[in-house]
Amino acid sequence: MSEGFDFWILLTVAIGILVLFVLFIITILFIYQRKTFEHQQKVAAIEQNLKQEILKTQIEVQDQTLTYVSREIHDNITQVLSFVKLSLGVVGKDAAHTQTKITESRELISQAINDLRDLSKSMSFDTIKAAGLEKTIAFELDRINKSGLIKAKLSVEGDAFSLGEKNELVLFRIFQETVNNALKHANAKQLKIELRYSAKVFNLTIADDGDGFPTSILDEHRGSGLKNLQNRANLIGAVATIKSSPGNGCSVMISLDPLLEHVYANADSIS
Amino acid sequence: MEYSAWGILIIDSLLGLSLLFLKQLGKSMYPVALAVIISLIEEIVAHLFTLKFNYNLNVYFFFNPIEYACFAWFFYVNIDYKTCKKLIKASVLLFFSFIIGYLYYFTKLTPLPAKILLDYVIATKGLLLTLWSIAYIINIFDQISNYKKLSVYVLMVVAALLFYSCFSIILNFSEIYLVNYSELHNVPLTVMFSPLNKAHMYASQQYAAVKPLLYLTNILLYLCIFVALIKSATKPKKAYSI
Repeated sequence: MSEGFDFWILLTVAIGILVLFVLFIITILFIYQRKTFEHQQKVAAIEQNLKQEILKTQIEVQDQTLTYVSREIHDNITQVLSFVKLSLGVVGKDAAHTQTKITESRELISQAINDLRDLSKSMSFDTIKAAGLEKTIAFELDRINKSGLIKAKLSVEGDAFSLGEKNELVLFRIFQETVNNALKHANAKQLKIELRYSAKVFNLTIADDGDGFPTSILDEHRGSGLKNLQNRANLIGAVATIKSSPGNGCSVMISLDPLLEHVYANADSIS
Repeated sequence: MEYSAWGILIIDSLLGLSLLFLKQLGKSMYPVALAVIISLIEEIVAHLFTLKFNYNLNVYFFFNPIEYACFAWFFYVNIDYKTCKKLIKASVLLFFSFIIGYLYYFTKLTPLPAKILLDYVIATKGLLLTLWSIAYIINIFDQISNYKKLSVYVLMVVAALLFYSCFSIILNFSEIYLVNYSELHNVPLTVMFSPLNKAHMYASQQYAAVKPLLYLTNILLYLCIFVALIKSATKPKKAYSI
């Protein structure tokens, strides 16, 4: 009787343990599935954000290009052509200077053609794709130097290689923003751009000799542009280091691991 | 019930041995196969010692660290945390140094203190395996962000090991308490472990309740290992995922 009682108790406990064990495994698998789903959603959201940011960057680059093109057409080419028009208008009236006027006009038209050719090479996403980051930056610096607003110098270390279309676009946009900042707010006279290519790390450094600012503004509301710059860098898995102090100019260094294939920004930086 | 545990242990060991020889096992299951083989050897040698010397505690004292080393290796392979891996390595070294240090001393002990010492060894083993099992379970949730697939069969073995280790800790600590009490108060062990004592002592109640559970969880562990070995052999190179 006692043996029979023990057997049934034991059987019940055995079934209980088995049920508990199965429930334990099922619970872990359930939590695992839920966490996997949450992770997939997070990755999808980050990918979506990345796409949107890339699109935004593309639009910004195009916007800047259009502004530059329209300014060039208005300030330069239109002026030159208007002058040519005026010159040619007086050709019939002043026979003595006809030949000089024609020669002058031909030279000015030549200059206008050259300027238009330069404009056609203006920066766009396609230019960056075709020419690569190094050449696009070199072209942009050439344009800046021609404008006489600032003296820009480019140095390249190591053999240049492609960092991927999207990465290069974002890097170029960071470069554009930093240069714009130096031109608009820093009263800088000189710009030094350094590109360093190596197997382990790619560095883009943009340094100016302008007014500088205390880096504490990065934590304040005023530094939102610079924060945006850091977020953009995070977006492609790069790190932006901003160094500056009042009176000592500013240097922005972007470091990127060239081997980083799937780059996702951490969720905080883009949210 | 003991025969069922013996039966499944023999089947597991033969399966593990043949899969090891045929090189059909996945890397993560090597240590488990070794652990069941060592468990079988341990039980056979202990049985022989009982028959010949009527004393087998030293066999368990000797084999438990080896068995622990195999399971520790299993966790070492399956856990990604670097600190945890270092701790697992250190625990194996400590366990072995402790056993080597006590081996001579152990043989000189009378059965009761020897039993207490052995219980401490088994309880410590259970405690460590419980810790590594929990670490493994936490680790699988972290593996999601590293895109590492979950092996359900490894999880099954770990869960069974966790269940077995938990009951093993309770049983061994209650046994330590009862044996110590018997030593201190000169109460015969037969009295301490008798069904009548269950009414008076909590440790006796625990001991009586957990003993069959330990057998059951032991059988469950061997069954899970059996399934995991079979699955690992049928898919040796790929991680099975959910």
